[in-house]
Amino acid sequence: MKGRKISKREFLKRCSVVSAGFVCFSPEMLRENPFSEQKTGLKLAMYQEETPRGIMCRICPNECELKEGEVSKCNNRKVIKSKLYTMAYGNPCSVNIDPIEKKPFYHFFPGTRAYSIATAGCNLACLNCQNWSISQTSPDKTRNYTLPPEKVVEECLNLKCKSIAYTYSEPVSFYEYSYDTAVLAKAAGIKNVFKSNGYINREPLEKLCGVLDAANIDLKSFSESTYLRLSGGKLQPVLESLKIYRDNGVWLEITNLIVPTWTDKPEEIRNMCRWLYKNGFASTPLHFSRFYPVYKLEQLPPTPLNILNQAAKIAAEEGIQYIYIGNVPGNEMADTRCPSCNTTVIKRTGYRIDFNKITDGKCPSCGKKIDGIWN
Amino acid sequence: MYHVISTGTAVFVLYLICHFFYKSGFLSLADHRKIWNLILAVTFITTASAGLILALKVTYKWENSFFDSLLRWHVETGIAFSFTGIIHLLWHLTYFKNLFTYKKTLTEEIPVYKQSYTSKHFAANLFFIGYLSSSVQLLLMREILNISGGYELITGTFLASWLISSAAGSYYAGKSLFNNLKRINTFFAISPILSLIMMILFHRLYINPGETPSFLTSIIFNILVLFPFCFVSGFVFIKVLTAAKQNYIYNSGKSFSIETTGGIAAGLIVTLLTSGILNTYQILAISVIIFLLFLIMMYFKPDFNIRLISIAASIILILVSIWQGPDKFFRQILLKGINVESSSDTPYGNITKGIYELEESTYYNHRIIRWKNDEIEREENIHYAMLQHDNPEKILLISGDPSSCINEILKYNVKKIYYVERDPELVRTFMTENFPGKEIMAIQNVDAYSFIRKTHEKFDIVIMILPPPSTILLNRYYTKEFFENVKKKLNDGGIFACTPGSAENYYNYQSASLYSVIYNTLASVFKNILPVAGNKLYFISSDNELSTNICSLLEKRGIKNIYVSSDYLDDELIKMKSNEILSIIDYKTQINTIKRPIACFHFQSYNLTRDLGKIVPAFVIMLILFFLPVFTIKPVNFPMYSAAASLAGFEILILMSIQSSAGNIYHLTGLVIAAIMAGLSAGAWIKPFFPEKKHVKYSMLILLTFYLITGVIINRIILMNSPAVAVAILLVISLIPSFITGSIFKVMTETESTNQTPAGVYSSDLAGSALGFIAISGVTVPLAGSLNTMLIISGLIFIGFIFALMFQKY
Ligand code: SF4
Ligand SMILES: [Zn+2]
Repeated sequence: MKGRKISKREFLKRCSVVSAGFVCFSPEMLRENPFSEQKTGLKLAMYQEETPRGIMCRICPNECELKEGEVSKCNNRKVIKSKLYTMAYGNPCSVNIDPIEKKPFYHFFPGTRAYSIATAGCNLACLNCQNWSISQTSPDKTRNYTLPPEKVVEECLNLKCKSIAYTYSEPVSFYEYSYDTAVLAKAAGIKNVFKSNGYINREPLEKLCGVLDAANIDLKSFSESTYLRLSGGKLQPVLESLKIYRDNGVWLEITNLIVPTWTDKPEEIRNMCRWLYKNGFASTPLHFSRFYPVYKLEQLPPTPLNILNQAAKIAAEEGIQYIYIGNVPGNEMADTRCPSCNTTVIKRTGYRIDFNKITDGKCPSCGKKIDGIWN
Repeated sequence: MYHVISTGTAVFVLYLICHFFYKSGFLSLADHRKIWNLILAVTFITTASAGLILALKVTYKWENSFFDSLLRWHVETGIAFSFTGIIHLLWHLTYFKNLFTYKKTLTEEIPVYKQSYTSKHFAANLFFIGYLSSSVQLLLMREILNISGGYELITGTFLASWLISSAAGSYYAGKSLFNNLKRINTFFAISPILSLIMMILFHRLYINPGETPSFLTSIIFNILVLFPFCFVSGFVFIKVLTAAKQNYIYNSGKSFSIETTGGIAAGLIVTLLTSGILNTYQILAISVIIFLLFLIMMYFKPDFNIRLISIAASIILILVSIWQGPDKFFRQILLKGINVESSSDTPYGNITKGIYELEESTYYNHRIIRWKNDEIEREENIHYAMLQHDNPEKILLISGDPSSCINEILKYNVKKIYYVERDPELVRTFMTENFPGKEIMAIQNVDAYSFIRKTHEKFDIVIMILPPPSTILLNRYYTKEFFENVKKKLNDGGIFACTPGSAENYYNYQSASLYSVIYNTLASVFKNILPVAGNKLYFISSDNELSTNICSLLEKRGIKNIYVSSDYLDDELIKMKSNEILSIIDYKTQINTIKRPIACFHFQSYNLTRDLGKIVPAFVIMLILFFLPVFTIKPVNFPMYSAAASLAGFEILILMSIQSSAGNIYHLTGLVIAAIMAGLSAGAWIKPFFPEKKHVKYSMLILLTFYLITGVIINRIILMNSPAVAVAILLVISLIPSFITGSIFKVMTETESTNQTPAGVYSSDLAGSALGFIAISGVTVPLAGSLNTMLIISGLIFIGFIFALMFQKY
């Protein structure tokens, strides 16, 4: 009798647990990709190396060391049959046309449009990522376009865009795709621009610089610990890659998104500007960008204008020549001024160029060279 | 990023290795312990000294990268320290066990409470237990929702963690021999403070400034914060109840009803006081003070002078709390980095004004709602919709900041603006300044859902600036019912605009599902729907044609904007983005209704994709916590479990039904909860109406019939012509199952049986309610709809009935 009792009870328990489990893990909740046919573009990854533990990716400072079947930190590389493959090749999930000013690039073919592509995945994990729905997932979980490099170039030409921007998520993590596309684009006379976190190793970056025309690098903070807490990365490698871009003649602009309570300390901003000046970035445009509450950081206010203005002031004091404030409609720090005579050489309202007086790359009043790639 | 799991695992693995060496004879037990004492000491000293230095750093503003690395070490060793501490705790478990069971040595029998406590004494004690539990619940719920994002799943998790922790406490009370009521009550009085300390501590340690934690972190946070208080509260209730029973003063049913009455009182008082009189922490402080005073009077039996002093001291403390409430202090801790100027609570939420770098901003439930230089937000909110109308004269603005929006609205030839916001305190905050256009504004302090239904006005434009459907309450504004009412109140060619989320460069499957549901729901009412992807995603709806040529329309009207202008936007690009959204819409998906809040469900799944890697662990924890307690329940108590789960689920259904028929649901929600608690209380108080031995079985049968019939007729009630009558019927109806459930509790706790104790019944009751809240609100209602949910509830009762037949053989 007792035995029967227990077994009945067991039975009911099991039923309830199984059904509860089923309800709880209802496929709706976890369903990810209904478009699985057009999933991944697998391609043998570049810069891979066998190690005693498995395969190591040498593209970015994360240097993921993966075993069979494991997926990388950037969510788009995987070891299959002892070889590292990128899953992000020819399958962007986001394709848009943006004004180049939106990236932001202010000294690179102003007023042109950029054909912008991104695949899923990123090698960092910022708490304030605007594009978290692509950056924190992998290409086999997103709805993708089928757009191999030749097709990207073709589309870009059709739509009369001056450049291809590798952007939104992180082009470093779809390195192979962006590199191959850039090679073709270059041959077709299209410019290639990177909007990147600069978290990349020397060797792959130097190779990339051969085909890249411009890069806007996010310098997220000037403190190692903030970098780690905010983005899960390190500061030093980003500083190194800035130098590599510079040395390889890629046009560089730097963005510093000022996150209230995180990266808005004046001393930190000053240290950053000082470093930039000392390391030859005085004439690199520096964009201080306004933060808006997003993703994980929803309980913060947008960056007060006082802070942005103060940052601009500090940068000027430290000798930075082209300083801009971004994400603040209607503010005056969007114009390009001649560092020598202070004449407004480019006037901008929003993404629109009201006038561009630069002639032969020089200030019309005093003749000083205005750094940038103008035509 | 700190390595909680990795450091923790490392400590445990080290421990296991060490343990292995000891077991295999390499190490003596003494050495094994020595090693771990050393580790404990080292981690403690490092954590403590680093913490001290950091405190000095903060105080004296020392800046150096050394300190930054110190912080890491402080936390990492802190983690190691905690884990080592847990291991030590396990070693010394027997010691702690004895602490609670020391009376065992005196006598084998549990000592009867022969103390000379009177019935008044027990009544007061039980009442205050109920009162303090409920008021602390209301406070912690608000705060935890503020911290963790406030979406529906969090509410469910909160209630379920609350009930499960209380169930654990009462379950343990049934086994523990720790019977000193004086001490237990004292523990209880200070346990809210313990929970608060946990909340602040974990918030500071594990949540970054401005961060909304992942769902996984939120669950863990919930449990850790609630456990100390709820465990003790479940424990104290069972102990006092048993004492009352053993002194032949109250049977368990009566004790239960007194406690429940205390809970009802707390609900009413807290709602009353938070309408602009006191803030939540003030109320909590006062409640604890009163409870302590009661303790001193009742348990410590002081002489006259001490009594006088205690009363005087309590009054002073209460006055201090009223005069200098602790709310600002706590708000300051929770909103790290922002200089909190003022904080006030309303029945609907918390309003905090803060200053950051000379700029003032306003937060509603910790989310920013008003800030300086908000051109992007305010222009997008207004112009995408208003440009679509040739001559907008009468505008209805639902929520949002009118003092800022009006700048944009006045760029048109507007005659009248209606502004609807349910929270009067919020309106006051917005209306402090004098701004142009105030004179043509009519302010309505009501819930927009009922305003739209009742108003006789007709509008050219309705702009809704409410948050996305993150809760069942907010979901109402995205339902077919609501949209239909909006359309009825629109003039011909009128425009309705809402913003169900943010625009993104990529819409994942979950957000696409959410927007598809809302699109289809709108499409079931309006002829044309135009998605506009600004910074937020706007859905503009109308029976007239809509246009993506925003810039041309602006030019035609001669309207000058800062952001919504051709300086930033381009008609061609707007159209492209709009088409992109239309291309991801699933036109065959379901429609969002009050009875089937599927948009709310999709919002939860979308929210979970913020932490893709943490979804599975989060659900495993949920499963373990809320479904596995079924294993600890004795079969004989299962009827209680199923009745409680069903009642909790039914409560949610009633709340949802009332939402669709009634106006001011905020007060009605309180009323429904009070009605159900009153039913429980009465059922537990009144003599059972069936022969005791048959009572549970018969009651389960009545419940089964009741739930089945209600499932059939509930829709008719909701659709009745007079909402007032419908609400009244729903309220009366909800008394029935709660009354029967209460009486089941009474009979089951009073039946003397070796394996059926009040503790066992009560913990089954709580665990069942936990299941009901989480499963019904989170899963079955959105996925299966309310009618099927009633069937599921009936099924649950049926299982309970079978269990009653099988196991209740006295
Ligand atoms: S690119 Fe991706 S796989 Fe390669 S190291 Fe970086 S995170 Fe790892
Ligand atoms: Zn010049």
